[in-house]
Parts: sequence; structure tokens; C-alpha cells
Amino acid sequence: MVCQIAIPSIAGIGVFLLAHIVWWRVFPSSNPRILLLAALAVLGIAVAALTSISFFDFSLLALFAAVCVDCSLVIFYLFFYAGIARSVSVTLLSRLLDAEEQVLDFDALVKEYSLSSRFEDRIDLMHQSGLVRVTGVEVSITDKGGLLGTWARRLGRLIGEGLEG
Amino acid sequence: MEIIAEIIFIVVMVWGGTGALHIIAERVLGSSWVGRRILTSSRLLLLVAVAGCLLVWQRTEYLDPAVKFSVALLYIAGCVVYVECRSLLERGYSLRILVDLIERGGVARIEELKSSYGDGLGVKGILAKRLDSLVEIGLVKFDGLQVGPLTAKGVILAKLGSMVRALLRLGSVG
Repeated sequence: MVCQIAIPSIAGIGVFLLAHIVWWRVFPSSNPRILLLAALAVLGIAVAALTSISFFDFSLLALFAAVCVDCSLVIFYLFFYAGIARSVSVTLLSRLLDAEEQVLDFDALVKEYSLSSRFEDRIDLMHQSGLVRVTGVEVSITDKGGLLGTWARRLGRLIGEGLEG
Repeated sequence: MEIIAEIIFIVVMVWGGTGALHIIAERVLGSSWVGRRILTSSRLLLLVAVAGCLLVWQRTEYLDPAVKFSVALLYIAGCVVYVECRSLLERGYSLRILVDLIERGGVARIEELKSSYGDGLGVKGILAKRLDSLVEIGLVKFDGLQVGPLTAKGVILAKLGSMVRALLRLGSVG
């Protein structure tokens, strides 16, 4: 039973990671491409299911368990990817790693961040995702962005802390 | 098929209970966690999640151990989804920009949004908040004027982050 679950799961996550790394290296972008990543994850899950059906005696429970393990591994990876791809904290740590004696003046760091185009890049990504509309130097929220923002604020209040950013 | 529906029901119920219990405990005890909120909240969640895992394990006792392990792993993945959603709802950069825009009637100039990001927090506020969290989890030293040096844990995480970003050719991020 262990092999019947482990081998399909490893095949599924392997195909997903391989496709993800190759795609991201061949077509680099600053966009996190979450939808594409989700599509690759579905491909990996399909590979896990097909491996289970094709190479082992059919058991619905074993198939379900293999898909469970593959889905869990995908979720763990997405958690890791979200942190690595977009986290301000990881960027700060990397910036410190490159600094002389790993020390930076806080005001200089604030100035560096203020002068960088990170904020504008984020607005641009939000424009591409249809959350905001950019017209010259003005930004306006779309219906999709308004709905997402309203729900984010409500859920933020529900968990207690609110959306601090 | 009936067994699978039952397993999914158990995982969803225990997962929902874990989130609810964690939110309630945070609301009741959170005010006394000044300066160590992230660590205390994470430890509390870990405790609740371990209890949840044991409950899932016990409720699926009739299954093969390998299947039981898979189900427990799915429950842990659910807890990870909860952590990720919380992180987005507390610190989501794009979500906060949307909320700032809503609070300004839906339209604003880019410079105005940038300088007053996070209900007036601004770039300085974001960085100070992130650095305070990094200090709390023991990754870096920060005294309000000088940032650094990194701790041993911080160096490992920074190297891992840089390595993965280079592997995936991620450009302008975070």
C-alpha cells in the first residue's frame, strides 16, 4: 500500500516541479503567475492519478490517498513559493546578505525602497490582473478589485488583526 | 465511495474547528502578547494543529496506516492554507493597496497611495513592521537605526531565498 501511494504522489509532484522550473526559466516574468502554477499543479495531480491507475491494481482508496499526498505536497510548495516570490521580508534578508558586514542604515534602506519602482511594479501587476485601472498618474479600482478589497477587509476584521499591509 | 466522503467530512470538520479555535483563542488571549504576537500565535496554532492531527488519526483508526498518514497530511496541508490566508489578510501588499483605494473613494494618484500606504504607514512603516517580525523570529538584529547583522538562521533563509529566486529567474519582487 505504501508504494501504491508514494510512487504516484512522487511522480505527480515531480512532473509539477519540473514543468514549473522549466517554464519559469524559459519564460521569466516578475508576475507570480498563480493561475498558470495552479494549472501545472492540476497536471501533476492528473499524473499522480494516472500513475496509480496504470501501474497498480485499482483501489479507490489508494487512488484517493495518492491524490491527497500529491495535493498536500503542492500546497506545501505553494506556501514556500508565495514567500519566496513576493515576500518583502525575504527581499530584506537578501539585501542584508549582500550588504557590507550584513549591516545597513535603516533610513538609507527606507530611502532605497522609496526610490525603487517596487510600488509602481505592484500597481502595474494589479492593472494586468484587472484589479485596478491606471490612467497616467491616477489609479482607479475596478469592480473585481472592489469586491476583493471589501472581502479582504471583512475577513481581516474577522481574524482580529485587520489588514495592516 | 462512502469511506472517502466520510474521510473528507472528518478532515474538513477538524480543520474548520482548528481555525475557529485558533481565532477564538487569539481574540481572548491576544492582547497580552505584546511584542511576541507572531511567535505565540504560531505556537498556539501548532498546539491546536497537533491536537487536530491526533483527532484525525484517531477518527480514521479503521484505515490502513499509509492511508491514515495521507489523510493526516491533507489535514496539515489545510492548516498551511489557513496560515497562508491569515498572512495574506494581515500583510497582503496588493490587498492593502485595494483597501487604501476603497477608503479614498476608489480613485487616487500613485504618489499619494505610495506615501500613505497602509492607512498612513508608508514605506518606513512597512519596513519597520517587517523588520520587527524578523527580529521576533530571530532572523536579524534591528535597533531602530541600524539593520543587521543577520543571525545564522537569517543567513540560511536569505541564501535559500536568493538561490530559489535565481533558479526561477524571478526579477522585481517583494
